[in-house]
Amino acid sequence: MVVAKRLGVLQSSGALRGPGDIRKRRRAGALQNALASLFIATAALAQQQSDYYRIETYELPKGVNFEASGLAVTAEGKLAVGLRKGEVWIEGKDGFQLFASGLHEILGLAWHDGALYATQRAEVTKLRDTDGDGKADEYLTASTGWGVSGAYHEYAYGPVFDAQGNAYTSLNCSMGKAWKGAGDESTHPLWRGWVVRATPDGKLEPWCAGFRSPCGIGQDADGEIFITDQQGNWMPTTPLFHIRKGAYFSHADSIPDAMRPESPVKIAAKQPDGITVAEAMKTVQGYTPPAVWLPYVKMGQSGTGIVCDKSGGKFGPFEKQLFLGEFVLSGVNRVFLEKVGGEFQGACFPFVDGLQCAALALTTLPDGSLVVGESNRGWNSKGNRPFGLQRLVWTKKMPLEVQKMELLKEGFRFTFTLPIDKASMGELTGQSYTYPFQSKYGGEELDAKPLIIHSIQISDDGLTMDVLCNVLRTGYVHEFELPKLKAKDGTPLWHRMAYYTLNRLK
Amino acid sequence: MKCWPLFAASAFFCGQLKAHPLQAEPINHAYVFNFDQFYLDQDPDEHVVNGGFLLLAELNCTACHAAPESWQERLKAKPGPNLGGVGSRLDADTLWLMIRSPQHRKKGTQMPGLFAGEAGDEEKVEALVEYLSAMKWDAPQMPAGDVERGKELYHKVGCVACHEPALDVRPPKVPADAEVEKPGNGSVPIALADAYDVNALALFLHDPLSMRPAGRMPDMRLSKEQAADIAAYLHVGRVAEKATARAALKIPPQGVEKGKEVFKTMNCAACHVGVEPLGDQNAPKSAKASTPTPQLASLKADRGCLAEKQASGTPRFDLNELQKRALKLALAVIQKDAAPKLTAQEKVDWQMSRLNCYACHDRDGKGGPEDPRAQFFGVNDSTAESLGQLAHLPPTLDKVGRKLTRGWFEKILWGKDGSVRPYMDTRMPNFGREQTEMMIDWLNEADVAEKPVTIDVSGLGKHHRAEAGRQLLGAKGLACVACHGLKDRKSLGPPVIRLTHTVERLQPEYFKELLLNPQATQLGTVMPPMFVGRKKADLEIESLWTYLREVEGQPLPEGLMSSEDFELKPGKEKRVIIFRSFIEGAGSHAIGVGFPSGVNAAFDAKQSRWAVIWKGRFLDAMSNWQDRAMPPIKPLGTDVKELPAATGERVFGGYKVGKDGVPTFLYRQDGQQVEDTLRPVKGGFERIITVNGKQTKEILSW
Repeated sequence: MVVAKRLGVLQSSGALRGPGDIRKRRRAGALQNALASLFIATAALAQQQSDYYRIETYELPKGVNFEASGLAVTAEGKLAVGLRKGEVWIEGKDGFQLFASGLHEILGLAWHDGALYATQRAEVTKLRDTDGDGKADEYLTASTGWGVSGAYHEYAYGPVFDAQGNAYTSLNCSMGKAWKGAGDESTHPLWRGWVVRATPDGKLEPWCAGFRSPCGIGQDADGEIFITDQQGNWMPTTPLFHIRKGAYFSHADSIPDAMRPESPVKIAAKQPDGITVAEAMKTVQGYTPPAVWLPYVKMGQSGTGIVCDKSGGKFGPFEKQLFLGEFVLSGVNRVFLEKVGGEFQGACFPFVDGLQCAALALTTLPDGSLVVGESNRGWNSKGNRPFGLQRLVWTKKMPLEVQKMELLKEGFRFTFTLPIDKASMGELTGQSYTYPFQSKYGGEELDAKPLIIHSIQISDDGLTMDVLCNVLRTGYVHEFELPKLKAKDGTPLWHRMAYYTLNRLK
Repeated sequence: MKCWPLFAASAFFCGQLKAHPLQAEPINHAYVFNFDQFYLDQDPDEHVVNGGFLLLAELNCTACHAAPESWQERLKAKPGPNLGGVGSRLDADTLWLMIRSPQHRKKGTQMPGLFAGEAGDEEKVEALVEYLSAMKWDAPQMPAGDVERGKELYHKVGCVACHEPALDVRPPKVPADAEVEKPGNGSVPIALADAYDVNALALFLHDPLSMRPAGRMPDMRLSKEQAADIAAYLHVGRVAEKATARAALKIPPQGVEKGKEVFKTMNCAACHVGVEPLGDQNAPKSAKASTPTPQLASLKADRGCLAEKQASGTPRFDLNELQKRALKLALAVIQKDAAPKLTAQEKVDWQMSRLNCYACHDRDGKGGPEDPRAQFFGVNDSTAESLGQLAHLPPTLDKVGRKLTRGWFEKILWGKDGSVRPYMDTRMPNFGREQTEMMIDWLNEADVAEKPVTIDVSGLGKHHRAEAGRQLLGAKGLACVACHGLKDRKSLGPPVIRLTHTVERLQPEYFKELLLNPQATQLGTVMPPMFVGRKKADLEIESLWTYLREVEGQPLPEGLMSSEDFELKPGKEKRVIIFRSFIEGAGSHAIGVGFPSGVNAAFDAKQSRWAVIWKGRFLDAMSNWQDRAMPPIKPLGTDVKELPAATGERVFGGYKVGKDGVPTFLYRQDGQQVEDTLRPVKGGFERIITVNGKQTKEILSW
């Protein structure tokens, strides 16, 4: 009954809204069935989850709306938390201590070169305590100059720093009504829907464009910068973008600024509307598809913070992989990336769910745990607390998971965290689909076709499984449902779904 | 509420007249409130037989006479008074009187008399008195009580639902010239209050379950002070009865060991607890006694306490004729048939009868306090008067099994903080987990809705934004806040239940059922049918649920909210407050600075200039702290003055905060480093500007 109700809501809320004018639509019934099995599986997964990862909830200062929207770890290993209400708290011996206040909606926090950096609506601010009393007394401008019209959607996230000390900030495109009091910016706020960077001497440079609501910005183990965006116009589902100078990621609102002489983004002034992503990759000038799509509902509905596991194994068997916050379903997803033809692409997997509130910001602590900052102000999330802070701790019990999913010439290689028992092999199914490239809100899976699996080869050590299949399609997500595999020690496969975004063939 | 027919037992006035106004007409039979309330002489056998079952259970007959297996659960005896420390609570004379002749010492008691004066009885009684007198405890000291406060509390918090109201207390609403109607039903006697010392009585009232674990006298959740006040009131004018007969007997001391032995052979531990190891409740009772008592199945209906003339040596309850009739009828059924399987509702009714929930609550038309008692129940908030009896009487329990969550049942029945009606003087007592926990499942089962209501509480729908629910609740939405308060806020009108704990308290399906059709769902409610004819009722109700679920950390609905809630008050906090926001007059890069002396300024960090100054109240942080959209805010104070535009080319660099909390703004102007500070002075500000180390000052007064 619960399942049926949820489906009803998802349908009416537009999750299954289709593009209408584009080709084949997946039958709603098929998706419903997929969703039904997804929800039924949840209870069993919860038990397994607590075997492998423990969710610990932080005790928070009383009376403070602790909407943890930015996380950083100081050089001393202390957790610093930026709150949406404009405060920064640092964990001390007796809980969290207020470090800075009065800032304008912190949606990101970083530690760099001896100072905390908080991203506010209009500025990245360097915060320092120069007299050692535990409170910031210097609030210096580190990055500013993007447009702020007062429209509700002008969130700013970040910063992340590259090796040269440049600070990158991701900016929502402007939605809603501008405010006359913003002066010139009320008519055209600059660089909205862009990532901008500030050089160490404070010069602001537009960097790349085409974002809608780039809520997560983070780095892989090598310092490459990735961004998650939110489903909506031009974003059919949550993407994970690998950003580079001059890249363009599809949201048309940032096109006018790309026409400015200082823009590094070189694209056409108009882009087609209502084609598929696979087509856009071939025809839209400058379009860079995401390294990974996270299919809507199946992998959540709103990607947020990004963190890379650099714990050297303390967080489990996923070293150097990316973990992505998930707002609506209140969880954390996992992404494996590989470079094919010089570009990142890869697969996403469900990881942990059941957090108390929407996951917004992620970081890792020196002990290898993963901290999740939570706030759902203004939107809904499955975790029903309005805010909070939790962390995930690996119990040291090894789960059976797909550790890596790599592309082969004619299929995929799944690498497992434990050797699998060949006898547990059962039916393996897969399909591939693309998404619309359109100005309409959201978008469903398009042109879905089952994958014809013609060979499954498990290595002698049981650690890899090569699945050869037809037809691999570029610009398509390749989704697999693995059988109920078991490890040789009997451990059941924790998550059976895997979604590989294939942009380039090997 | 109902007024039950006059209590028709053979009550007569006898014994000493006591000074205390609470002295009800004495009851000369073992008193079981719900038996007297619901069974009358003229009732047919098929009804009275149920009263017999009630008596078998409540008089603890089955503690000694084991019931046939199929009847055991239903007729389970209740734990009797805990005798631990009884020697510190009651003096030896009172113990002697209570043991020797319970019906004489405490009229209406359910304790049977076991000693009819046969040979050796006097020695046994004396031995028991010695044994029990030796059970001492270190009683904690309770505060001193106040008789007047105690009198007021006794009458308004609900004691009079079962006990007698005093003759000299007039219920608040009875006109001065009208006669105060007296209760029609008998009252549970308060007959040992004179023998307890006042401290022990206060302790008992504060935590009755520790001394009487059966919960028939429930824990009224009195504070220590309140318990002491009521104890003082119950104690006033009482004189403990002396056991003159005991003195006359001159029985020599028997020794505690003998008393212990008698306690065992007389099977006192079948009922009493707290005298370890004899009082082991888990052991089969009759096995402990020296002479095993016959099982219920083999009892003769014309013998023992049921005989017309009771033979000595059998337990004496002083049953009245109706009680004997009921017991005989019940025995006949038990000896003939296996216990019928009760429906969930029958089980609920059974337990509610045993615990006397009906003294206060009405369920499906049965129970509730009779008017002469109900008229004493008060309210402490005059705005509640408009709710009528909803405000002062405990709620009806119709459908409660599908209304409340398990968690909330636990809070109400034996936990704490379950009260949502602070305007009501009476309170839901704690009957003890043992007595009540089983009722939750029975209620759930009994109250399943015929037509199930479905509601999506996943929080995943588009309309599931807390904000949508907040607006519906607000004064410009459905105006729920007209009657319902929330968190620390009162409603705009009557103090109907605050919505703070709605989702912890109510099952979501019931929440929807109630909102869709209040009158049909909750008999007598004054809630208007807000959703009749609303096309989007389903979605709106879900929005409300989402908001209430996430209410912590959410702004309050309009109407309950005032800008006071989030107002930044430098004066009150005695510190400089720096606050960045969208501020009218200072733009989208504004930094407000409020000084405790009541002057304020906002710096425009885009143009690097002081943009606006004002006096009085500073800024409202609600936009930043609560809103998804963060709309611009206005200076709250007066004398708002806009300052002239900036000159030269300026680049903002941030600010430093001094030890005194005053910010110094940093910017470059035409390539030169500038520090710019405002400090309050009389009439306004002193502005201190340092350019390349050279300081200038100016006064801004307005």
